[in-house]
Amino acid sequence: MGYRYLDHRADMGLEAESKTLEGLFQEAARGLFGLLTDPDEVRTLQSRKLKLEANNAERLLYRWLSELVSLRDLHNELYGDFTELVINRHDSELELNATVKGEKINPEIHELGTEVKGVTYQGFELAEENEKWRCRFVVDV
Amino acid sequence: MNQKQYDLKKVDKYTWEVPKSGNMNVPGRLFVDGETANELADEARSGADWNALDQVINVASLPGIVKASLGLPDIHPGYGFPIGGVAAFDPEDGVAVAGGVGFDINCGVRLMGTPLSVTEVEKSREEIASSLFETVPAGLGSEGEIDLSVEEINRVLKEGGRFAVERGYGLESDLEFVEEGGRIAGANPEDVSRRAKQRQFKQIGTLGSGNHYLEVQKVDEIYDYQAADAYGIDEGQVVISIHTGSRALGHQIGQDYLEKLEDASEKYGLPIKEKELVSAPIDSPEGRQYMSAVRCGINCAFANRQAISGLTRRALKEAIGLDPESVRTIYEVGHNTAKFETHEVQGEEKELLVHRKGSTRAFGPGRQELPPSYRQVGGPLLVGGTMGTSSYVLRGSREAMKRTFGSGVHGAGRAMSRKKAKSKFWGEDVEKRLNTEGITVRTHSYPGLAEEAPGAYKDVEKVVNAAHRSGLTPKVAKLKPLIVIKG
Repeated sequence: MGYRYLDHRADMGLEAESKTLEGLFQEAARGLFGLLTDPDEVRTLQSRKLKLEANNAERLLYRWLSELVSLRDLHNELYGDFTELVINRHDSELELNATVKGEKINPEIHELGTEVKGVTYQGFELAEENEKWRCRFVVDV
Repeated sequence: MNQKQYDLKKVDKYTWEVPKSGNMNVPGRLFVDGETANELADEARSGADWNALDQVINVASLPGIVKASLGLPDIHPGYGFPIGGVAAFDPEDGVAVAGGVGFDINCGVRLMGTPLSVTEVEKSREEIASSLFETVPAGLGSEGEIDLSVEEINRVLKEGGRFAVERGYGLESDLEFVEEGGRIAGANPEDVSRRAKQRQFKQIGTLGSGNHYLEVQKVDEIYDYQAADAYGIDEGQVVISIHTGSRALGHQIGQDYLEKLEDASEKYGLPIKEKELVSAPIDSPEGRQYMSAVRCGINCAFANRQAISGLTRRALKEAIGLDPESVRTIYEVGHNTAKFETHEVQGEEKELLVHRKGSTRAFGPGRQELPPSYRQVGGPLLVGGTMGTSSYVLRGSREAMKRTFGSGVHGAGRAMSRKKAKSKFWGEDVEKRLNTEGITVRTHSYPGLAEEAPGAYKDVEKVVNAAHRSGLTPKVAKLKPLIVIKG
């Protein structure tokens, strides 16, 4: 369970797995922010609430990651804690409610990597197999 | 894919045809040397799930595509659409393609000429590097000094470079030497999400990170004196290159419209051969909306590079007292765009929507879109190298007008993944190595510097030589870096 980076010719590939869908979303987010800095070095001084909906898990994951890229940029923050996250199913809609925690970017504290331009659709995958959730995606940096 | 599709037909030494078959509406055409053609075909035959030749074929299968799906000498796999790819569509039955523009809308290069000699730069190298590094915000989380409201962002999206000039960044005369005069018409800010605008509040006048840079360079060699004279480039002259794009606003437009065009593709029954190759008919509400948003992104990038040009002049004035008016814009051109242009199709002038993804406009002599003083020789193309290798100025040609809708290369492309580069190179070592080669580097991110190590990129000379020898975009000048500012 966790995440790892994959070789990708131009940008950066990520793979995450978890026993639950919620856990998968958390690991994918940690992997995404791991590209920017060490998530363990990010203090939880600031909280942001998110509510997202989608008609399937794959699109919900895409929206979750895109929203995190966007929020990070909007507030100039880094996030390291994604543990408050719940996904509920209403009929055919999935609803995600989360509170992500982090702090303002501070180049004196955080060793910074490269900015993420966006999460791409290339090879975007989410699947459940043998009671394990797994996803793969590529970010454009 | 049918393996036979990968049997490339040689047209001449630098032109290979992908014959029309299967769902292709037009053939593919690759402007590469034989070795590259073989590599592209072998990769596709091996079944690699992400390869440029399949992407050329997929683009050729889109409705309304005209003449051919093109791959330029720097072709490599992109998102749905190859990088170094060009495709033109008929506005009546063609499509606007998200992957044909990408996330960094109108990413491009501005080249500025200075009156400085290399000796003058050598004397104040550290002062110039530090002043540029402190004045031009770069890197993850950096913020610009222009703080905008939603209303002002809306003006940026409509007015492009002019907005920055009016705010005191750069000179009015800069805009004459920017594509479209630094402002493309038909940009309606209502087609851009509030989030995209909010993300841009503090990002006008910022360089970004990744492969974006600001370089002080010397003109190392001139190949075409007539064109160099027209552009005002002299051997030994010191020039400045700025490579950046539309920043967060462009990224958010890319993100927002990926989902919107995915829905449009389903609504209009368009083929989605690769997820990122989603599109909308040009003549549909979704297509018009997307094109308007793309134009907003184009104007945002113009404003961003214009603001950085102003900051660059300020930094040089502060460091060595250089008169800002003595720094002139040679040219600015984008390499991630989709634009309506007139081209000759079967002997007739026709308006087409030309997508250039990682490809530069290379208009030949006589085109009215070029600055009057460049019309006789053709427009400049600005091709970025790596921190340790040369960049090039090429020029557009009549040959390019005929064969590539007036398009040429944009850069070298990566040879090594970022993950591998980070494990192979160490940012501090990359800096030391460049120092020994006479290149001063300032960076906000050593891991970022490692990812961008010259060894992680393909050989730009090979790409430029194929571009030159094919007759599409002849070489004009070679530029060597002296000072590199990275995000």
